[in-house]
Amino acid sequence: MASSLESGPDSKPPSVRDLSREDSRELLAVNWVKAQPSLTAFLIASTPQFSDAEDLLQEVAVEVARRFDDYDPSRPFLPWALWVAKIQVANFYRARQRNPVKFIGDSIDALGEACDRIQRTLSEEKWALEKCLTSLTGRSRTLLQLRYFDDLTPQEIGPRVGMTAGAVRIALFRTRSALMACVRSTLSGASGFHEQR
Amino acid sequence: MNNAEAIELIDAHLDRQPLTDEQSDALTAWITENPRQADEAFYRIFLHSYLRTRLQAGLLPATSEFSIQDDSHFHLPAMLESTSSTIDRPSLPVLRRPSSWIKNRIVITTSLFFGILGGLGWWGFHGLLNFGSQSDQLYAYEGFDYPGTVFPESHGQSAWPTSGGLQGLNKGIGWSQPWQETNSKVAVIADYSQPAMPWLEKDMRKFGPLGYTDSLGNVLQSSGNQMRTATSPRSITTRLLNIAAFPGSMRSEHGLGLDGSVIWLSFLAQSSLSTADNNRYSYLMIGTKETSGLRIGKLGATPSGNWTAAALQTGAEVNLRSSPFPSGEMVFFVARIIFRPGPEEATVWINPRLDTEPQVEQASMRLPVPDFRFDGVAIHANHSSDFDELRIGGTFQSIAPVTEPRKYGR
Repeated sequence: MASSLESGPDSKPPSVRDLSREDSRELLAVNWVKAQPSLTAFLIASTPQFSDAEDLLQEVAVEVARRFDDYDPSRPFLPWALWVAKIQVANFYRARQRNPVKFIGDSIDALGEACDRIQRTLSEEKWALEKCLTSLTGRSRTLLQLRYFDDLTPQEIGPRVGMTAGAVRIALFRTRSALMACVRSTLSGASGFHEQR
Repeated sequence: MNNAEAIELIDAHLDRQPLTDEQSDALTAWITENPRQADEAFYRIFLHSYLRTRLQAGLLPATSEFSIQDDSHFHLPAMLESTSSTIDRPSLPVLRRPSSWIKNRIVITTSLFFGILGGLGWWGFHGLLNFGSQSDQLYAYEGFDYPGTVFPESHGQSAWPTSGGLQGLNKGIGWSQPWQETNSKVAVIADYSQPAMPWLEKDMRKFGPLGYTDSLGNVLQSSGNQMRTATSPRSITTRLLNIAAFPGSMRSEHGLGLDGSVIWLSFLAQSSLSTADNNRYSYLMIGTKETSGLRIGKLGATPSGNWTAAALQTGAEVNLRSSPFPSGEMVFFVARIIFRPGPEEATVWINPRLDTEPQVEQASMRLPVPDFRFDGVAIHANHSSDFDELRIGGTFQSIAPVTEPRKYGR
């Protein structure tokens, strides 16, 4: 898998090499920060241990910077960065002699395409999500803190909040789904506002 | 497999529950069935990713008057209605914090504290123990108390200067050299007692010079004029610190930031516009872009234009954290950097109370910064923004001094 990826997604005569050093770095910085949320999500899907995904993100950042001279600035950055990320994911599992997570391994391309499609709307999603997060209270808030800040699994969270692991899973599922519903509702309201302008 | 079952499996996978081969195959088939389902899957994955990033960065935002709880009635979207349930939205404001919530917050806070201590190791712990004995000294200060810049005339109109500006200005304490201007335009000293250039309609700086009063009415010490960056194309204004003026426990031969030390930094800032369209930026930087460092301010990579912080690694911005504060609003930034072996830990508060050291839970942004040292500050901008009251010290109190209360009345 990695060897076919190593050859690159496309041939690309114009490259970042044509830019000045300063412009090249600025281009990388701007592109990277825009792509980082999508890449993080992609890596978390690929290796659901958050700490692994964060390590991988750093490795992808280094690799993207190293290969950036090969990037064709006339093309979208995210697919190129995803290509680099896929190589790093493959290397990650190979180095640890582990098999890639099965469902991700089989659907990595579909998720990569979705990632590219969705990136365009992510800034609105984040804005709405931030608004919706202010609506979280009580147990939902506590469970999210334990899951994402303390990095505990539902099995580990259960005894801390007096719930079974199954009940924690269901509560987290409902909270996340409520957030998604809130995001959609917020965005549909916001789009009405923008259309009037 | 229906949509809800697929989403449940994605949640299970991201909650580190191993999926069976049958579940994996079914989920893969669902994701690859059509782009809409692939998008749904990725949105869910993004939600996990965002929650992780957001909670790691600065915990959850404060609650609003509405709430989502897991015992109320917020209808699920159609794709989820087949599962179970109704979710969480009481109709009344929920401001109560049940005792179990508070208990858990204490657990979280405590684990965070010990996490910090554990992460710091002996040097970090040593640094924290030394915290008090490092005194409340302010090691570097720049109040930009210089005469206002006189704008040159060009064809009968004032033009933005391309030389002069802050070049060579040399007041303040804790610096080893005067300010240097290193780009095609220069930053200037803004003097509100002099006639100003015409303001843009949305530029809120027209209401007065930078200053900060906290929610309790405490007023940050500030005086005199302020720095204003250039626009079209940019100004880069730098100044080296007198590292010898800092305690030995804070510095090494590579600069400030010896492992185990804690450095506080504060400044006031306000941009001419809140948006970051066209890659507008104006930020203060310590460390270097080429290796590693920290940027605080307005970054082109945050399209909302809100005040942001980002680490730098080999030329790229990484670990970017954005705040809810628009950059067109005046803010008081307070940053604490804990230097430790490996990545440093930066915490940034915006508009904290001045009477007490702010808590980590109140931070606007938290981010790891690749191992770095610094020996000066640089203020980069490609559009007009104001900066003032720059302080670097060893404690919060040293970089957030409060003025004596004014006596009102006759």
